[in-house]
This record gives sequence, structure tokens and C-alpha cells, in this order.
Amino acid sequence: MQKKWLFRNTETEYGSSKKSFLTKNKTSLFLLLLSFAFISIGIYRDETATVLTKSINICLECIGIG
Amino acid sequence: MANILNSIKNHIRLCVQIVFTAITNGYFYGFATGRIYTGRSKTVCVPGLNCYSCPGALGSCPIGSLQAVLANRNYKFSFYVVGFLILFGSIFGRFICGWLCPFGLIQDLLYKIPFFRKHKNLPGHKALIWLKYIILAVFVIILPLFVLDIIGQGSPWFCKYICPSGTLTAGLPLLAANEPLRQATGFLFQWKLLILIVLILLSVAFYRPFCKYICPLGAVYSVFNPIALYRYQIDTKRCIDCGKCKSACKMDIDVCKNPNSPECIRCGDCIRSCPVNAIGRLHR
Repeated sequence: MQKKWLFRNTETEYGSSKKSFLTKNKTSLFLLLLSFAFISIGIYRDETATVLTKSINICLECIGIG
Repeated sequence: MANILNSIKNHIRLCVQIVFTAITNGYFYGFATGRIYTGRSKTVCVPGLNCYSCPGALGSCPIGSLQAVLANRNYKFSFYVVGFLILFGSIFGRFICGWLCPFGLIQDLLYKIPFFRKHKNLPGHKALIWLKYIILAVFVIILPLFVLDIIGQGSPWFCKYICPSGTLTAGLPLLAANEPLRQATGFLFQWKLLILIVLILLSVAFYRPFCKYICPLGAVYSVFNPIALYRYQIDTKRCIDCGKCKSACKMDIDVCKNPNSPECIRCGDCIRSCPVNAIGRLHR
């Protein structure tokens, strides 16, 4: 009987190794955590104010006026 | 009712694209008045290439925001915007290109226009696919960082000289509704309009030329395709190497050999074409 585990690698009925969700996706999960850290650092550095200021004023460069 | 539901099921990707575009550009009042939304939701980056000067835009374009922060004399790196790019990329990869990007939707609709001969790629495809990485490096990162004006501020070079999404979704609606803006246009607008027209014409004959060759956001997400949480895998025991997935793929990928190619926009055409269901959507 095959059991699905989040954290542990399991053996399938055919004897091959089936990797856990965490093992198969460790890179993307690490990047996910990194993204939250980066967004938090960006908020702390007040980058959001720069983004907001740019986005609530008509971007003359974007519309082709320069 | 059953026919409608069936039709939605058969065109689920198109429906998702339309709904997501409508949601992220839902400030319809802006189109009527020629103004842009100024609410705080514009602090948040949307996943696709969606100009923040589009009258309907409720969020910010990640590429525009990245250039805005890099061009600001107070910052040399944007943790906030890069964090969003990593967040979207690590979960979805280029699924965003295929399902959530407004300009991708526009190209898909243009490709549906009947044309005497449709092609997947432009001539020189294998070399041209690297152009988007060069545009990302030069126009989005290097030039806004290092080409500064007298007070130390940079410019959004990609937005200013290339981005057709800005011209189409922001420039044209705003100029149509604002006489003073129309009077201020000059050579730059003509140049951007030319780029837009060329891309529109190319999109009728070739599949998604902007996504394949120019889009810097696609270049960013392509790096995440092999490792994103949403990715494809091939059941090698089932695959009979018939080549139908490669024929169906409009991004010209040999899916059974490279299911997580950086060029794959996760449209799902290969999955639908596989006669033995050897291509899986989610991790197993």
C-alpha cells in the first residue's frame, strides 16, 4: 500500500523511491520564503512609496510623451 | 446552459485570461474620464505585463516598478519588486504568460484572426529568443541604473522606448481622452506606435512574437520554469514518442524531451494533444 507523506520519501509498490513534496520542491519553497523576506525588506526600506508614487501619476514615458 | 458551460470548459484558458485582465484593469471609470486609478492597491505588483498608466489598472506593472525603483537615486536594488517577481516565478513560472498576462491575451486573440499562412516562429527563432534576456539586462536594469540625469535620477528605458503594452493600454486610451496630452506627442510616440503596429501585424501571422523575443517579464519568469511549483512532467512509461506534443506546441518546444522549457507558457495544448496522457500538470 502506497502512503503519501509530505516530509518523508516513500517506497512505491514497484520498489522505486518516491520523493516527498518537500524534497521535490525544495528549491521553489526556498525561493518562496526568500520572496517573502525580500518583500518585507522592501517594505521596510520604503520602496513601496516609490512604486506608489510612480504608479499613481501618469507615466509620460510609458505613454510615449517622454 | 449546458452548451455555455461546455464552451467555457473548452476555452478555459481564454476565459481565465479575460476575467483576470478585467479584474486587474477594473477601474472602468478611468477609461471614461481619461484618468488613472490612484488608490493604494497600486502598491501591489500584478503578475503580468500591465502598464500602471492604463486607465483601468488597479495594480502596478512589475517591470515598470522595477525600473522606477532602480532609477530612483535612493536605491540600487529593489527588494520589493524582485520579491514579487520571485514570488510569482517560484509558484507559477511562465504560467503567468499563458494565463494571466493581458498582452498575452491580446496576442492570442490576434493570432485567431484568419491569415493565409500561420507560422509558429519568426526566421532566426533560435537566436531571437535570447533577445528578451538582452532587453531585460540592458533596458530594464543597466540603463535605468547607470544613465542618470543631472539630479541623479534614471529613466524607465524599456517603458519609454519599447513597451507596446504601455502604448496600447495606456497611451492610446489616455491620448484619446486628453487633448493636452495629444498635443504633447512627438517622435517618441510615433516610434512606440510603430513598434506596436509591427507587433500587432506580426502577431496575426506568428504566435506571440512579443512573448518569445522581446518581453523582459517573460525572460524573468522563464528562469523559474524548470523549478516552479507549477510545472509539467512526462510519464516516460506511457510516452510513445509520437511527436504530437511538439506539433501542437505553438512555442515550438519538444515537450516530451523538455517539458519545463524556459519557453513554455503552460497553455496546455500539448496535454490535450497527447494520445496516452503522458504529460502531467502538477507534481506527482
